[in-house]
Amino acid sequence: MTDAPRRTHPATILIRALKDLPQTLIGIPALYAALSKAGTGLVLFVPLVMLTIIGLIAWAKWRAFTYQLGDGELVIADGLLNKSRRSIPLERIQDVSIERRPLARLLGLALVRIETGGGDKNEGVLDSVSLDEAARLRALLRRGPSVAVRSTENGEANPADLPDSAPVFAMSLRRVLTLGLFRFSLVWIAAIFAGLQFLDNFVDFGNVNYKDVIRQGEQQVRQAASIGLIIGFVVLALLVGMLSGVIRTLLRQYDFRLTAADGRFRRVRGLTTRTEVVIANRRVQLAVIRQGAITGRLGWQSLSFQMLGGSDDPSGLQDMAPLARPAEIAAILAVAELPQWDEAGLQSVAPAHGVRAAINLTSLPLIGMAGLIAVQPWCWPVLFLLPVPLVIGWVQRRFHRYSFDAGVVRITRGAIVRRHFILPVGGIQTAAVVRGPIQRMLGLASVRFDTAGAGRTGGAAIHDLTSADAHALVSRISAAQAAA
Amino acid sequence: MNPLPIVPLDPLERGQITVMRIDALMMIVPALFGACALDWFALDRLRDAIGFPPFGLLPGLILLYGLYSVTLGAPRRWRLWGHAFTGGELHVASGWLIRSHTIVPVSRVQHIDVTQGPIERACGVATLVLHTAGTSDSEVALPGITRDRAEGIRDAIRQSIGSAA
Repeated sequence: MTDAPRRTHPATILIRALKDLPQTLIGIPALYAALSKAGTGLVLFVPLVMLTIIGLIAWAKWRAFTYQLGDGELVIADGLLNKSRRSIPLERIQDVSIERRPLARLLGLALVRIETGGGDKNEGVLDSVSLDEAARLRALLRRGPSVAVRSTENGEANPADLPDSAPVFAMSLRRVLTLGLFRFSLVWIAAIFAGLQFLDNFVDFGNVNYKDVIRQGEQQVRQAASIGLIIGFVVLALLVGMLSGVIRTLLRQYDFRLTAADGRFRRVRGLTTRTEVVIANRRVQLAVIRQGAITGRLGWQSLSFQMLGGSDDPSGLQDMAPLARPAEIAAILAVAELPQWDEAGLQSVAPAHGVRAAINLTSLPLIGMAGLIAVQPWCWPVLFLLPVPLVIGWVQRRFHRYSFDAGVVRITRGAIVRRHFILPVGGIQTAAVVRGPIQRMLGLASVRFDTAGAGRTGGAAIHDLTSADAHALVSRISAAQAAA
Repeated sequence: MNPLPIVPLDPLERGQITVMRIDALMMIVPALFGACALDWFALDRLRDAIGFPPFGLLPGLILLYGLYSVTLGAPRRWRLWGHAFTGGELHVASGWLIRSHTIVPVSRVQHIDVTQGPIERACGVATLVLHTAGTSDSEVALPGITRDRAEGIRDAIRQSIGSAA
């Protein structure tokens, strides 16, 4: 059934104009000041002209915006100069929400927001149709879950619904404190010094100005040059850092509890504020297992899920197990119906990855060293530090591996802090083969996987494969996505 | 060093070169004005102090770069683009310093835009934008194809989505 194209309600023009009015009104006093010499007639005339122009543009924009319920799709046409036609297949529409702002409510209008998969952008916004029309659209467009794999279903996530069964994973007090010890933080020391600086302007600590005390102390330190005293201060700083880390972690992760039922996890944690989050299996795009520098050596890992967001669901990287043993993490993955981490079948990236890492790591230091030596020639021994980035580069290459097997991409990266990515093909949106100038010289390419809910740190990527390998991998992934 | 492509890519429409030329022009003209203003008003002090940059150097450089960009640069940039539609995916390749080849599977497309600015309309090209649920590559834009081709791809994608449902 193909409708005729429709426009939004004409009263929208009024709403838009009223919204823009404060901005124009601000200009009027300035205009008055500028034109006061030209006489009152002009002062009244110019704002009127401006208002008419704004009104005309608003009317033209209103006229250009149409929406049409076509054959299996919703088409939104927009734009005066930049004409655009947006086609939203009905199968992709996840949700239709209706917003009523105060002004719209007065006029009996509503704003219809159409959400497709990947829920937090403006896919389709019908600014102000009548309430009847909004209800009609909602009834017509709101269907069931979409086809997109690794689904984008908008599961109603009400924490109270889930039974409080035996936890899949829980953190004892001892483990929370252990985690706190590793969350070392010197932030508070900086904060304390900043605070003292501030207080200095207002408080005089009795007869003795504490600044003098510190100055005297500094002098004594310099005179005595006692190693023991310096070490003492350092140890004190470390202790304060450790304590602040423990306290912050305790507040955040106390009694961390992960329960599961019905394809959904419920995570509860916190000391003073208990926070509860529901994590739906279907919205998990990829899993990240992280081994910290020291925690990894001691056999600990942490698990996070990258979530597809929605109007009710959390998005981004969600903590599933901040500090856990590999067996516990495997259990959580099994409950989440995700593939396990598997070292077998991992292959290395191209050897030249080490070369490129070395180039990237040495170029800036080299320039810095060259500059330093040019200015202070006696500094030349600093060149002995040059092998360090080269070693880091070689090590990085050894620790970057990947595999694509049975519809799952696994990537591991990092020597000191190791990250394992488990990415089912269903979670891959677009794949891109990227080559920078150095990579082109060396015949390498990186493969970047775009996933939903990735956040600023970016999703999974494989760096520096040979071009042929990159192309082969991407072809296989395309085939898997088509078959799914 | 050109590796074997993943799929053979077609170039954009030739009309896109004109669009690129006009885009370059629209960026250079304000930059030129800005540079002239800077040169005239702000750099005097610097000139008196260290004698550099001489009058007219900055606008001159921008003018030279602008001329290059509009005449020779635009066809070069045009050649860096490639696209292909295999029925199952859309491939878009672009970039000068960092070359990227993006593959959008039809099954991941959420919605599709076909846009045409006034200049594009005059040159007979349009832009196709595919939206996915992703983050960094959630909008993959393919400029410089004819409107018919853009709509053809859009309809083919819609067919696929409809039949898969």
